[in-house]
Amino acid sequence: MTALKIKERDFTIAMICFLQGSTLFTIFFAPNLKWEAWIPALAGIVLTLPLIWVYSALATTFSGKSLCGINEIVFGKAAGKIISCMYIFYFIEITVLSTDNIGSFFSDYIMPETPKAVFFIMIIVVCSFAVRSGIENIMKMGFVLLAFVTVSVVVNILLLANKINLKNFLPVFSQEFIKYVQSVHTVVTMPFGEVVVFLMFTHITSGNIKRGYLLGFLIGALSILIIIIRDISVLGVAMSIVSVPSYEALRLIDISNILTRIEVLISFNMVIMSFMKISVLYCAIVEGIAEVAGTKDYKHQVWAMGVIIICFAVLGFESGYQEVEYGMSYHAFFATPFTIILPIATLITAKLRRLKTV
Amino acid sequence: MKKIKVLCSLLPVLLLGGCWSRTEISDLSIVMGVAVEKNDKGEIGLLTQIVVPENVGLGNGDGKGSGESYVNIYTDCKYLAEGMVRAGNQSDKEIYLSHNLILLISEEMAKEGIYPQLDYIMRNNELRLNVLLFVTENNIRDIMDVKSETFQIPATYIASLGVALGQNSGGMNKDVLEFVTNMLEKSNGSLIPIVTIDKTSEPTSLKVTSTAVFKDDKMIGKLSANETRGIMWLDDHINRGEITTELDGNIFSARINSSKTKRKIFIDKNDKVSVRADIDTELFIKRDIYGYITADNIGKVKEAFAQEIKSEIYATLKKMRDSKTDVYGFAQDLYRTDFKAWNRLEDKWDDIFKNLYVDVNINISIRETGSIDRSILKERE
Repeated sequence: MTALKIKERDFTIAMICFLQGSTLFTIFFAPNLKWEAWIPALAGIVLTLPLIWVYSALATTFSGKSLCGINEIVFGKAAGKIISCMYIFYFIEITVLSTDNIGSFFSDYIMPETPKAVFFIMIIVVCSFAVRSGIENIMKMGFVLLAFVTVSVVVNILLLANKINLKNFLPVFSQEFIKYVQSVHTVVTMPFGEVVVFLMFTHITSGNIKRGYLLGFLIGALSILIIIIRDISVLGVAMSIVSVPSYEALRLIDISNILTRIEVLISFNMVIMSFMKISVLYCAIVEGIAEVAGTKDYKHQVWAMGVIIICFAVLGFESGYQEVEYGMSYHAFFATPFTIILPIATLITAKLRRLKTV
Repeated sequence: MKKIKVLCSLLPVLLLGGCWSRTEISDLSIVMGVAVEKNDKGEIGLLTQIVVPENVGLGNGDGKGSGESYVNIYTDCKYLAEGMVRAGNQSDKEIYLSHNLILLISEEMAKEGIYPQLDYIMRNNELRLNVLLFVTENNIRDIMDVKSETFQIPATYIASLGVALGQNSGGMNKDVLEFVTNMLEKSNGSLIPIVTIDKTSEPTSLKVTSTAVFKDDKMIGKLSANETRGIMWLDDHINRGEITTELDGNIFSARINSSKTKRKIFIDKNDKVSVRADIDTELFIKRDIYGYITADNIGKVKEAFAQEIKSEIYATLKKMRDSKTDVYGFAQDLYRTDFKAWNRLEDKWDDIFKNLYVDVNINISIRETGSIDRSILKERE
């Protein structure tokens, strides 16, 4: 029996932070639908709920086992290990994407002359320290970070109140149907389905996991929806042409020429939440590798993994445009097996073979 | 040993954390305003107004700050991006655009299309989308050299005129976001205020008395201040301002205290499009020298004001219809209300707009008549 190190509350808050770490990704489904980007976000929340049920059902059926353990029980030792390795690769991919995103944001907007690699290294070094101190400590931090970010989001919505134009939301459903399908697919797999990574930690979480999973997802996803709605109501059609809608919207804050140029606040938010997201993923990667390899301690491979993530991030995309193109059109297909097909297949196989842990 | 390890791993953070993009403030040319025109060679003449921080905010003869508080750098270039580099070379410092307030465009350049310039403004990470746009008939070198008592830097002076426009309903100020939003939307028209040098005043000052009409990104005409107001009534942009009307030989003048316009577009089964605008205006009477207004005939005065507003609206509407420029955003209204109808009618929109029926209902309330109730001229009779 593994020790229950994580409290349910911390688990939930960490999931909220994890989802908020994806607000930079709104651009992946915004250009297609312009001012209607809130529709796939809302539809995505509804369509992800069954997935959340699947994830938490897996966690409760196999209590005491992480995702890798579950794979080995359900698919057998060899196939299970292969599937776990695929999952680990998927986690590496989204970690790289997140790292690349936050690094590119900094080098594009804040320090244009600094090479991106510097930001990647700085982020990964900080995350490595966090990962070495253990997932339970990362999740404990969530509360303080979330409080800070929530306050700043509420304040900046209030400050933008005079720029909000509700007409920007009209008309609805004016695009081709296939574009909605594409965007919903993207949003379900891209930020929302990524919470599958929390299955790596459910076995060390105390309390009601179903409730923790559901609350964490709902609050996190709704906060993304609120941010999208804020950006649309301020930017309108221009939402489709700017690179980072949240940042561009906050740059418009101007209260009587006095309270202005406070967009640096949003970069704090982005750093904090990206840190949470990357740390959680990073932890999942190293713990997963340790479990597949059958070693108890994962700490010795943290730095090595960090270097690999940095290298991938540096090599990944030459410019932001390529990344947006990848995120908009291709990533969803890559992520579908891991977020939708495999969890459902695992649950069905488990039910058919009447497998469970006590 | 462990401490050494920790220190070693912190070392890269210390080294890499050094500010790569750090620039001392004295090494920056802080740009307050950018102006573009077409030069003699048919290329772009770019003027960047750079603030001289040590001379701002100090009175003349105050020792150090006796010079001008700004310098204008004029360069010729093919594209704006190239021009900025040249301006940087000329000023010996790095051009820093983050504090830029305005983009002033000469009329000649506006007629050729301003999108290439906006593209630069939007792409540049230092610039915000709320840079104010202005058109000018004057030479940009002259206009960027006019200051006032309160504003030592011409660019801030022009920007303040734009902000004042919103308060006195003399025109609509337009920033980059609003202009590109208009370009992205279905309506093809947009307005940008025209700023000119007022040579009659002493010392020379600037004024905004007319508005440039844009079709897509090209300037196609001008509207006077009154004509601009005709658009603002329908667009719900009226905040303050003066309005004058005549009735039975009396001239009434009133201050607009507030005005609210509700506009709706209708489309019937035969694809006939019409617009209905309900305008609620609150007036404070400022001139009634014969004491004409009484409880009995206040209705007539209200009606006279309503007619005045209607005539302003319809005069401009006719002009806009003739040039087929939808600066009101009717097309976008239709798209928002019924996008299927818009998709059907898109090709015919120019004709529809030309014959568009616009029904204006005005409800005027005269809130007060000032500190005197009666007129002296009437009392002496």
